[in-house]
Amino acid sequence: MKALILKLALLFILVILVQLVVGHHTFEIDSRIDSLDKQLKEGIDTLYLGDCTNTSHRKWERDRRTLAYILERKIPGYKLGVLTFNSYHMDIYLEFIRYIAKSKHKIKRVIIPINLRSFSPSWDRMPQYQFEKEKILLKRGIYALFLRAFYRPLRLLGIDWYTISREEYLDTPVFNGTLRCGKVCDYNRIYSKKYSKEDIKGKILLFYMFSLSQEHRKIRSMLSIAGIGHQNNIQILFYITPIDYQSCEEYFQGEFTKRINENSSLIKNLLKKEKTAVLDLSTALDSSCFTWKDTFYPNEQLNISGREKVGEYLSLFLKEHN
Amino acid sequence: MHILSVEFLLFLMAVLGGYTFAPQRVRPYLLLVAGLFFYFQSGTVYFAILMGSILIDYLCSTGINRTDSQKEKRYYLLFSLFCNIGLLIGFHIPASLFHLILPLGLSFYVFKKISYMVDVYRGVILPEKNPFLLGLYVTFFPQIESGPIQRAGDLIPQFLREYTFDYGKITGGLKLIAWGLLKKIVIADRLAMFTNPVFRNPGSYPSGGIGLAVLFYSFQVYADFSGYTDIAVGIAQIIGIDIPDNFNRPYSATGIAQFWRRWHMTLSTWLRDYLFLPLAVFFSNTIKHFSKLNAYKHMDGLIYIFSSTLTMTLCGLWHGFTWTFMVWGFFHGILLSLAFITRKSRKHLRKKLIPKTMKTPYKYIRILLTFSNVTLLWIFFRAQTLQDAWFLLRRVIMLPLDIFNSLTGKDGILSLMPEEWIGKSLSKLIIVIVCMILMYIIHYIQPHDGMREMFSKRHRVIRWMLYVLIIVVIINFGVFGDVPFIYTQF
Repeated sequence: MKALILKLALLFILVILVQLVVGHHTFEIDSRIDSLDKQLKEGIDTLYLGDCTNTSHRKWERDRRTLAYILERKIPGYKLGVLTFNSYHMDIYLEFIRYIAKSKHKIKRVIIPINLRSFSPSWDRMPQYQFEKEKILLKRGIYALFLRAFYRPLRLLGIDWYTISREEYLDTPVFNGTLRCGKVCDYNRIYSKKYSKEDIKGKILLFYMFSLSQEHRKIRSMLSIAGIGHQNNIQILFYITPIDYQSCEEYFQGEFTKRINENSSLIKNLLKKEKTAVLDLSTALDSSCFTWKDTFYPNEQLNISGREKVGEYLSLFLKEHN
Repeated sequence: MHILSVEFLLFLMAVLGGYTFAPQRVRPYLLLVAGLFFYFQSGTVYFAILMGSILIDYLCSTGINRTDSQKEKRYYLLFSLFCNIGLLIGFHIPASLFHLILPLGLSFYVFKKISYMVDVYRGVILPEKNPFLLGLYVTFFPQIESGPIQRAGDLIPQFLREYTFDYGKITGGLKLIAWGLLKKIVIADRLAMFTNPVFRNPGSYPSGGIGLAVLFYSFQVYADFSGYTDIAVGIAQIIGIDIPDNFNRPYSATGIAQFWRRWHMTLSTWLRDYLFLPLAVFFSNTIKHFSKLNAYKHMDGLIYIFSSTLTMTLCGLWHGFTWTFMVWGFFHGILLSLAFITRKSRKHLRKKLIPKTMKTPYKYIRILLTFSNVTLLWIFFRAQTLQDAWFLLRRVIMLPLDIFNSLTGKDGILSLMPEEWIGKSLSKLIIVIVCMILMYIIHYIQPHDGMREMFSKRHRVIRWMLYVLIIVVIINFGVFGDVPFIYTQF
C-alpha cells in the first residue's frame, strides 16, 4: 500500500508540473481580449469600451450601424478602437484599464459608458455578469499564470469563480430609493410573454429606482478607473448612457427623473472630485430614440436615431476634451 | 449524486478507505450502506420503492425455495415478475408521455432482479437467505446507475470472498477509471456539443451537418456508455470485485448478430436467456401443438424471426415507451432476422464469388456495412420524435446526392456544413475529429485485455508519460458540467 500511495503522490506532482505548462496554453483565450491586443498593436489612440447600448437590438431594424461605427466616422482624426459586450460594466472595465495601463502600447484616451442599470442588483449581482474568468485573463504576473494553469482543475473540484451563487443573487434585496421592496426573485419574470403594467413597473423599479451610494462597488471601480487614468496619462471620458425616461415616467410620475438625476449627480460629483470628465446623457434623448419593445420594459437600448444622436454628443465631447 | 462529481469522488474515497480497513464480515454491509446512501440521494420515494421491491423479491424467492409445489413456485415467480415489470411499465409510460425523469437505474435493477428470480425458479441458484446480501446485489453502487447487468450467481459470492490488498487490481482499476473518464468527458461530451443541437432541431441544419451529427452520435453513444462501464468496472476492481465488461469492439462486428454479441453484452445475454430463448421455446411448442405434420421442424426460421423481432422490439421499449425506441428495436430485430434467414445463401455466395485474396477487403466491407446499418438506426434511438427520425434518415440517405450537387456550387462541399461549425466552432470541430480518431484507436486497443495490456508492455517512462497525458487531457479538454450518461436515463 505504501508503494501505491507514493506512486499516486508522484503522479499527482507530475500532473501539477505538466499542468503548469499545459494549462497556461489551453486556457481559452477570450476573443475580445485577443481583439484588444490586436487593436493596441495596431496603434489606436482612443478606445471605446461599450455595452448593450452600442448595438442594434431589434431584429427588423434595417440600419444596424453600431454607436462605435457612427462615432468613428464623426471623429476622422482619431484612431478609434472598439471593445464592447452586452453586459459589460464598471468592474470589467477596471480590469481592462489596468491591462491597458500595463501594456507597452500606450493609448491616449478611453471612452466608457456608465449604464445606470449596471448598478442595479439584477445586473450587479447576476452570477454570469461577474466576468471572473476574463478578470483572471486580464491579470498579469505569476498569480495570473498560476490561475490560468489551474483554472480548469480547480473548477473541476468545484472551486468556482462565480463569487455570487444563483441563490444569493435571487436573494438580493431590491430598493426603491432607500425603501426595501422585496428581493430580485420577486421581479424575476424577465422572459414572461404575458406581462402586466405591474410587471413593467416592477422591472423599472428593479433596474433604476435604487438610490446609488458612493460605497457601491461599481462606483469604487469607476473611481479606480479615473485614478489609474491619471496615473498613466490616459484620459478617461465617462458618459452616462441615456434612458427612455419619458416612458419610465409613465410608471413613476415625477419620481423617475428625480431618482435618475440624483444618481447621475452623485456620479458627476464624485468624478468631478477626481478631475475626470463625464457627459450626462441620462435624460438627453426622447422616447423616439429607443427601441425596447422586445424586452417589454423601457430601458436604455437605442435605435439608429438614438445611436446617431449619442454618436454626435460623444464626438462633440471628445473634441471638447481634446 | 452524479458519478462525475466531486461529491462522488469524496464518497468513493470514503467507501474505499472504509472497505480496505474494515473487518471482512463488515465489508458487505459497508458496501450495502454505501449503495443505499448513493441511491437515497436520488430521492426518498424512489429509495422506498426500491426497498419495497427488494423485499418482495426476497419473500418470493424464499417462497419458491420453501415449497415443493411447481404451481406455487410459478405463482411466486409470476407475482415477482408482475411487480418488477409493473414497476418498469408503471414508470416508463408516464415518463415517456410527460417527459418525467425515471428513478435512477430503474431498468437496470429491475433486470437484475428478474434474472435473480428466474434463476431461483429454474434452480440455477439458491435463493439468498440473507436479505441484506440480496439488497447489496441490487444496490451495488458501481452498477446501479447503468449496469452492467450481472447475474446474482456471479456477483453475490464475490461479496463474501476474503478481500486482500492487490496492487495490480487497484492500479488496473484506477487506469480503467481514467480511461472511462477520457471516453466520457473528452470524447462523448465533446461530440454531444455537435450532436445535441442537430437532434434537437434537425430542420435548421444542412445535410452535411446532419450526416456528421449522425456519425458523431454513433461514436458518442459508444464512448459514453463504454466510458461509464469502464468507470464501474474500475471501481469494482479496486474493491476486489470482478464485474463483466459490456463491450468488445462492437463497431468491428462483421454482421448485426455479431454486433449484438459485442454491444451491451450483459443486456444482450440477458435478453437471450430470459426473453429470446423462452419466446423461441414458446413459439416452437405452439407450432408443435397445432402442426400435425411435424412442420415445426422446418420452421426454425419463422420461430427465429418472431422471437428475435419481438425480443428486439421489447429491448427498444426497455429504453423508453416511445415510438422511436420501438422502431429502433424493431428494425434491429428485422436485421437480425434477415441475417439469420440469409446466412446459408450468403455463405454459399461468398464461397463462390469471393476469392481468398479478397477475404480481408470483404471483411472490411462487411464491417463498414454493419457500422452503417447500426449508425442509421441510432437515428431512431436519438431522435426526439418519429417524424424527426424519418427526416434525418432521408437527409442522410440523400447526402451523397447533395455532396454531388454541392461540388458544382461556389462554396463546394462547405455549403453543406452549418456556418458556425466552419466558423466560430471550427477549433471545436477539429478537436472532435481528433476525438473520433482517438476513439478508433481506443476501439482497437481495447479487446486484448484493454488498457492494462497496453500499458504494461511499455517502458516505465513511457507508461508514466501516458498516465500523465491522460489526466492532463481530461483536465484540459474535458467538458465539465453535469452532463448525464446517456444510459442513466433508462
